[in-house]
Amino acid sequence: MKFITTPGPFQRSKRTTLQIMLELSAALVLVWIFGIVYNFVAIGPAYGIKAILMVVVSLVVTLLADVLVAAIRHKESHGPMMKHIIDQVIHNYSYVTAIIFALTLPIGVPYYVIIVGSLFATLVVKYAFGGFGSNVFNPAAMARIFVGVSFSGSMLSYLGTDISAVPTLDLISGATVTTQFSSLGTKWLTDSLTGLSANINMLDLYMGNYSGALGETFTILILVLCVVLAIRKVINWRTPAFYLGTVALTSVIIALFTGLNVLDYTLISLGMGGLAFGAVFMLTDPVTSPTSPFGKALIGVIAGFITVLIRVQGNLPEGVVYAIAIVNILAPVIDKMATGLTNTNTLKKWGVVASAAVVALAVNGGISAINVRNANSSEPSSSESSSEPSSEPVVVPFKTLQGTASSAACEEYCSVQTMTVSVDLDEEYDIIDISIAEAPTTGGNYSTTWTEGYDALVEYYQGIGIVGIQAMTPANAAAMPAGSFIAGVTESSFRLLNALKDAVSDVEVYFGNATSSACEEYCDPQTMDVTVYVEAGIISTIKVTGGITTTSGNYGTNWAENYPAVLEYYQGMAVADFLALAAPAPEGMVAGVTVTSDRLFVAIQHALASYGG
Amino acid sequence: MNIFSSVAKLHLESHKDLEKASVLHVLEDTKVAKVFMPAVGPNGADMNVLVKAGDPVLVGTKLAVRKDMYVPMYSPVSGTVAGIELVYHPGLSRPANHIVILNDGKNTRLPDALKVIDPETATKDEIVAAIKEAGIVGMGGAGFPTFIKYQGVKNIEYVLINGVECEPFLTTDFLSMQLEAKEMIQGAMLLKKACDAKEVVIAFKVHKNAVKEALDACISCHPGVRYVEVPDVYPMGWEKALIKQVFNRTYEKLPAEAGVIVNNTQTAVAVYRALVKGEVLTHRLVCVSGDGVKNNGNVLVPLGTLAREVVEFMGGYAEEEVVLLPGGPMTAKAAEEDGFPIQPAIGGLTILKNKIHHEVPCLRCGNCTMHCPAFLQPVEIMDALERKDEARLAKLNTMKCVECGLCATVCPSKIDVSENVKRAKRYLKFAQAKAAAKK
Repeated sequence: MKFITTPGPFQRSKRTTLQIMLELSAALVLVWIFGIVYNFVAIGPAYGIKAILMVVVSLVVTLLADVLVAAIRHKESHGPMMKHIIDQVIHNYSYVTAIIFALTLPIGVPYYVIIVGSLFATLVVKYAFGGFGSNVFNPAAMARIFVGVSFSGSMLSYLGTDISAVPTLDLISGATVTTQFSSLGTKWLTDSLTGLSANINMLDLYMGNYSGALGETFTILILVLCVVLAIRKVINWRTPAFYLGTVALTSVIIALFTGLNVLDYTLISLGMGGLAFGAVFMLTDPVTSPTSPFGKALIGVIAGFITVLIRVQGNLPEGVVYAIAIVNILAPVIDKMATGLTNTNTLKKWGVVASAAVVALAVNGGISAINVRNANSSEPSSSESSSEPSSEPVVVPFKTLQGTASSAACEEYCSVQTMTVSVDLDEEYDIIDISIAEAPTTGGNYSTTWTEGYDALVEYYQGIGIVGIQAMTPANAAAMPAGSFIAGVTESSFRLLNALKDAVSDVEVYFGNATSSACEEYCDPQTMDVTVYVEAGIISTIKVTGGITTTSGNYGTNWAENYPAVLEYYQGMAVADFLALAAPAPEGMVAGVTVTSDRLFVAIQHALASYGG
Repeated sequence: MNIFSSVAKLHLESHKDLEKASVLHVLEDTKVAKVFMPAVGPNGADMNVLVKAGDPVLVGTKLAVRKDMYVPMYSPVSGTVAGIELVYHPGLSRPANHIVILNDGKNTRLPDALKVIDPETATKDEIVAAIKEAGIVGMGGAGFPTFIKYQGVKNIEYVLINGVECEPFLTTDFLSMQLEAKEMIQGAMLLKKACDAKEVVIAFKVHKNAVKEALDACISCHPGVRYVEVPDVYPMGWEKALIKQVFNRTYEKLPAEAGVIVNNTQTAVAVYRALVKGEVLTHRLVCVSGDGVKNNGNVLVPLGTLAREVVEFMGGYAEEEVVLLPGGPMTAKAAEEDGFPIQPAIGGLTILKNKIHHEVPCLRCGNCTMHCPAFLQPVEIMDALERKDEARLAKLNTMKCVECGLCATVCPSKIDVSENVKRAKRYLKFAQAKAAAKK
């Protein structure tokens, strides 16, 4: 007879951690299946397959990472290596993270991003911090932040280059519904879906009938799963309840403060973006949450505050994963502070929760109200650089060219920036002024730095002129020559250059010269350089850049007085007509200065020799 | 409902076959050759042993007296003292001195072993003195000397008779209330008088119809006695939880602060028998249960019978390896061997097949915190213990743990939470004693 003396108690609940994780995985797989079906049915087989492969790749990479770590950490005392590895893989539950991470990515994400992200989640966020049970940050959320920041340009919602294959994306920038919504009017402060490039209504939003991250769109399914998982005690109901409740309440307050439709705005806030998914699958991660019921409720409120704050005031279209990361940092602090008996200090606990909620409502409501007011009051004078009282006389430009440039489209965690510039030219096609009509740059410090350095940029481009602008071909913002960018605001400077290039793209510039002598024996040959600007086959303007003067004395004066008329004669002439001339027309000659006039004519001919080439 | 608080309870699977439990098995005295009575108190201190090897004893002969409090111990059988032997003591988890008595099976009583009192005319002090002299200790599992609860108490409104038996498997209270309802109530009336309470309340769990019937039959004869049914959750039988449930009162250290004194049903029966019949405690009901023993059932055994013999009486072990629990599965500490005697505090032998749990890292789900009946945070206590953080252990009210085991029961990672909190308590106690000694 052997009497076992392990410590009690000897009646344990049948529920195990593995069961909990498997049930969570089952819920995630349901969400994944919907993602696959939507991509297959609404878009196409290639997309459906990508949807399958995204999660598969994530799982495989995570599995390999798990196996690697288990193998490295294996010790004699663990028993046979194979058994140890299998045991570790099953009981570290990295596969749950793998699925969650893959579900936060857009369909067009490259495979290498998934691989890097999965490795980052597993090896860095999880194992480097101590493995299951010890990680500080939710691995899926942190990995999502990491790839969103590092590969922002690759987070596309379409495969290849055909944006139109995917319904509900913006056809020009490929931006998803969430990004479109956040750039409608004042950021995140619109109560209607009608302004979106995508054609969706509220039901579409909740039924996932639009293109977004793989698992985040089908809000209703996620909310149903939330209830089921909470009942089965897989997740704690307090966290998603307080999170969604805070966001909903904040939306109500914002709508009241800014005059939006309360119900519509609240529904949009809850259904848009990654809120529901993050609430149910990432914020509820028990390892990174406080252990006390009070703590679990409190992080819901704080996360709700930060999510809405980033939405209305931050740079990004969506703030869910950042809110989760911040709240993960707070979890140990909250646990440290909540030491008393759990049934005591109830009023105090409610007080803390309520205070956090009030701060959330007040700050977000206030910021929203201010943003809307600013947007309304600044619309009429959006191109305000021209309405500033200036001491200089306003110069009326001879011609104004307009150009636009946009930064790369990306999904959710960066926003598309578009810049429109107007280039004022004088008659000689020199740049008088460059003004920016729309969205010069990002907010905050960047804006100030930009404003301070802007005049210097204009001077630079004035100095190099259209020719210089056309000659600049830096590959990216980092390759811009000195003087053409403002330090710290290089992206916007790059965008400005591209907009300028767009503006002057229709202007063709030709250079030519001619050399001749006024007389045979005692006159030095004179060379005249011209620059000819052509637009749409018509000579726009001719500049004589070198060798304007001819012999001195009367000839010089005569020429100087009359050659502008010659230039005017040629300006406005079709290039084809000019090239047909064998010799300058009478209007193209200055009486008494025929050699120089001829020289001018030949110089222009030489310049236009490469026209149409 | 306080959503920030622990729910403080859990419905456990009861593993109680009420029909089987209503059958009384009797382990005859003639079958028990030797009985063993401890010569040490519950904390290991030696008792004053009054007999020696070779002494003849009768039922009611005083064998020994505890030194720290006056608790006399009487012989449950007649026979001869064989001597003092080292026998395993489950409460101390080690062998301890026991008085061995060779049972002659005749049950010859010592006349006037206990002075009988008249329940009608006895005064409060006489009752308490009689309880003290009878050496009655709690039969609900704690074995606390009953008279101390009544000595010098004031402002007591209720005597709460605890028949809740919230641990899974245990059913002796259930059977006792059916068979001894009258004695229990009469004993309760004596206890009521002992503290000038105004009412006796008998508590037991719902769905125990046999008990209800037994009580209904005789409760009307006694004014000032009523019963109440409580929910089938664990740990409903814990004094604090029960008083909160029945009277909606709380207290810090002792139920007397809330105007209540709590005693087990079988203790009340013992009080009646001792005070009115002059009988010392000679037998007690033991619930033999679990899948590790061939037959399950309630057995009336002579006090001092070795557990091993009780198990044999019930068919013997069903497995080679078992967990042998003197008590219930939640609070009892597994015994290292079966050679220990049944004493008033051992109401059950729960014998279970060994289940192996795969322990994984804590997932910080907070289940333990969510269910702790004392409203503590076991997961935080475990963390603080690992970091040897005494200040935090004190702030977390570690000493308030009642060792009910619920935290470990609900833990999905199968961590020995309850054991770790017990270690934390020992660590904190030691650390605080060290700090106090330094001063």
